[in-house]
Amino acid sequence: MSVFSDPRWSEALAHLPDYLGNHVRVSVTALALGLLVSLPLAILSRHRPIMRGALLGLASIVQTVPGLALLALFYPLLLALAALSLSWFGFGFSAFGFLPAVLALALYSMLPVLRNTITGLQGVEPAILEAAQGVGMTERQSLFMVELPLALPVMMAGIRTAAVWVIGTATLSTPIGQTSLGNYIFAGLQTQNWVFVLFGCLAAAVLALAVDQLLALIEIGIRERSRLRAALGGIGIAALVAATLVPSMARWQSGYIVGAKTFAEQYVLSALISQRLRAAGFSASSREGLAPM
Amino acid sequence: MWITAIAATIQLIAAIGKGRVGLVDWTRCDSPNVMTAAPPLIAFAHVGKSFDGGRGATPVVAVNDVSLDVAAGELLAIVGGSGSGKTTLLRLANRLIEADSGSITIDGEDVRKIDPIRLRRRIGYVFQSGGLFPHMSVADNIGITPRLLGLSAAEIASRVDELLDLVRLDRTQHRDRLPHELSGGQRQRVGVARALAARPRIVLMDEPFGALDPLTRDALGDDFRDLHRKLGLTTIMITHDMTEAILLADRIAVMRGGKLLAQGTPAELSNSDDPYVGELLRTPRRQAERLNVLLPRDGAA
Repeated sequence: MSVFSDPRWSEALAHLPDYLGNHVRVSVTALALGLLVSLPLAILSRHRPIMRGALLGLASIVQTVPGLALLALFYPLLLALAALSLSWFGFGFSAFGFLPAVLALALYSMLPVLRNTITGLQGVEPAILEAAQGVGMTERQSLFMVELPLALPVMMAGIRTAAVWVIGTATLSTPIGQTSLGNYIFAGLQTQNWVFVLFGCLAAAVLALAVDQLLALIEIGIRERSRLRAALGGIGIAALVAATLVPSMARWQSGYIVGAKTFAEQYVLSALISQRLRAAGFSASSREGLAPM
Repeated sequence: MWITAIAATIQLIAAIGKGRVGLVDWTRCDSPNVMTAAPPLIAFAHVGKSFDGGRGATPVVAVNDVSLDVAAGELLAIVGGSGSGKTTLLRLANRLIEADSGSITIDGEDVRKIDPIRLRRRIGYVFQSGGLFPHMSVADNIGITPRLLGLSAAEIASRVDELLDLVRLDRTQHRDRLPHELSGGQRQRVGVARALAARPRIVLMDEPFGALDPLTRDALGDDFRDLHRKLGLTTIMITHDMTEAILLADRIAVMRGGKLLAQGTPAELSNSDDPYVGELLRTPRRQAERLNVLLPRDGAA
């Protein structure tokens, strides 16, 4: 039996829409949130050296925390917050899965975006800034008409780095209950299914490479002032996001979801129950890795 | 331009309200000014400016008690070496730098009472080596101040074409180019066109022809002199080159170490007993004499 006729490949492939969709969703949300926080902060700090130093220092410290630890830290933190919100405002939220993963990954994405935005803005020639003032621009007009457009290529390079980091680190969000391509890796490790481990690694790498190349296309488009390339890159990213959103939307109609914890017997049980349900004519899917570590 | 579209998107994302400035403040000048004993259009009175020399260092006095009048329609050159304070003096006029002491009036109005943004939109400024925005086309560069003033795209486009003709650049060939695709002389022509876009009465020029080769420099200088006369401008031009000042300016002011040493027409300056001014004036003459000796006369001339 050759390596590729192994039935585990097709089994892994069957999980791909679910895992990939979740992975892309959590990564994109985290990156968007990271940008939403980092970009205004970087712009605000461009004339404030102390704030700039503090921001970069903080972001660097976050970067030194191992990805898994950062993700794990958000779980108890949110648990406490959810309890507080329940007692104060009468509603709680899940401290598990999507939310902690997004928050931790967003924090993780901040350093390259902050650093490159600050560097890019500082790299604008003083003579150009003076010209902007001289032709009668207000400070805001100078920022939006001159400084940001000129800093954009450097900023894009930072966003690219952040995207690759987030996509890579998102595989570690499986243990805190967020389905991702890491599910292949963690499940594979526990059941000694090396095909799964390999598949997960490959899928995450391919996704990271694809997103990196699409963003590179936008970056080059901006640098060379080629509208076509930037548009192609943008369309590529939009298509990727749409492709991973659509099947997961369709899957919402699934009748039963069988949960399982992260150890071998649980996997066996959930698979058995799912099979029985399907045999009885119900739609069912299994969701593994429901509990943290 | 898609780049401005991206900028606009970022603007939206940052959720910062955009304060559009819609004021139209044409200070038209349709007929050239006739030189009379009219009050000066630009007047510096006992102006002083010093810069903080950094930690612990003594402040550097850039402009020291300078009083200088520029009449309407005049082309005044300010000549001086580096560190003489000439560029600082120019920037004080449109409040790129604020004066510490003394007063600067434009058309009788103290510049401190005018909103600096409005003031700068009313005054043309030509920067050393162009100062063009590298990400904007020639047309966008020239049309920037009218755009800031809120003119319609059609008005800006026709104004840009008019200005390209005025600075003698081919419309179709140059309109959509980026600054890095132009020669130094063409860039400076665009710089002049940009300064004239909002029909200012006053143009400030900071070593406008300094970085150009001699031939281009000569042609541009002559062209600007014509424009100055045709449009009835009042111009202050900074230069370190006395020859250029003598050839182009009506009057010359000499600065050194932040002080105004002398001012007047070239003939008046030649009577100055200041040794530095004398030296400045002797140099071009000596060069001209040596050139006459070294270069064999061309019979036709």
